[in-house]
Amino acid sequence: MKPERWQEIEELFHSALQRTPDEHAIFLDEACGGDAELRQQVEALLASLEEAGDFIEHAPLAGTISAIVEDSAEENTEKAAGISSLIGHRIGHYEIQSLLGAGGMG
Amino acid sequence: MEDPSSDHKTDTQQQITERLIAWNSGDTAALDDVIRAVYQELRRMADRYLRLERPGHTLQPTALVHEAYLRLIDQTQVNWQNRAHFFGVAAQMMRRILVDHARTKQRDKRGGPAIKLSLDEVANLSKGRPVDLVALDEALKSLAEIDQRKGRVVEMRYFGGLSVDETAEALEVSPQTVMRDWKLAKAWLYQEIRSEAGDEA
Repeated sequence: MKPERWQEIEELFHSALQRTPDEHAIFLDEACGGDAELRQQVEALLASLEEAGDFIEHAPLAGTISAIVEDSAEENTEKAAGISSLIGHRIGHYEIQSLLGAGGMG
Repeated sequence: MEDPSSDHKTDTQQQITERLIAWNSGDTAALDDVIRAVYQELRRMADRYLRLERPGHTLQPTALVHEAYLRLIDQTQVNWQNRAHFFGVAAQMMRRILVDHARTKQRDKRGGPAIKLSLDEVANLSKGRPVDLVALDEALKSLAEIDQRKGRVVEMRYFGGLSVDETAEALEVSPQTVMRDWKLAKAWLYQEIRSEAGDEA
């Protein structure tokens, strides 16, 4: 979509929102002139906002916490517990970033 | 705001504060240190929340990012721009964590092992209809191509849990602009996700 087009849509969308829903049709008739596509795009967005309700209105913080905990739990089972607990820690000037491999010599 | 940790500034706090300031002065490598510290802090906080409290009940809308900020940054040393950038990074990271996790979970559902701790259970505690995070992430990428700022507004408010004012501060625009951006972005994303879902069916 061209930036100018998007800007047009944006302006009409907000202008329409300042009017009551009954006034939308008349307003868009006038504002869009003969541009049926523009009118359709703005109308679709207005309808979509109406329908969206509380879509994305509540930050999924509880889900984020759970995701973090699950991810770290999985990591702990995958890696030797003793080694993974060192990741991120500093020893002297060095920081342990990841586990390269596991096992012993001989 | 009261912060129990502000009395005795830790070495980590000092270090991360310096890295945040360095990053904002143009040292791009410093961002990695900030990201790593925020991630570790989020993990630590997540463990504590799940152990001590029931998630959903006690979580304030902006709890995670604010708490990470208070714990990691010495507020006497940073200005509002440093703060805003920190919040921006945290929101971006929370988006990545959550979406990656949702993606893995979708994969696992198709025949993989059962998940030990059900994300759905926790998600049910939060308000609102469930959102398909993978679809939202895709739609958000398309939105950012058309209008980058609107993409960031959604990232900060939805994934980062920031208020309108905080988002405005971070993006250096007025709260009115954030509200306008939010409304159009919400309508556009909803439409986009529905049409994508329709195409697949």
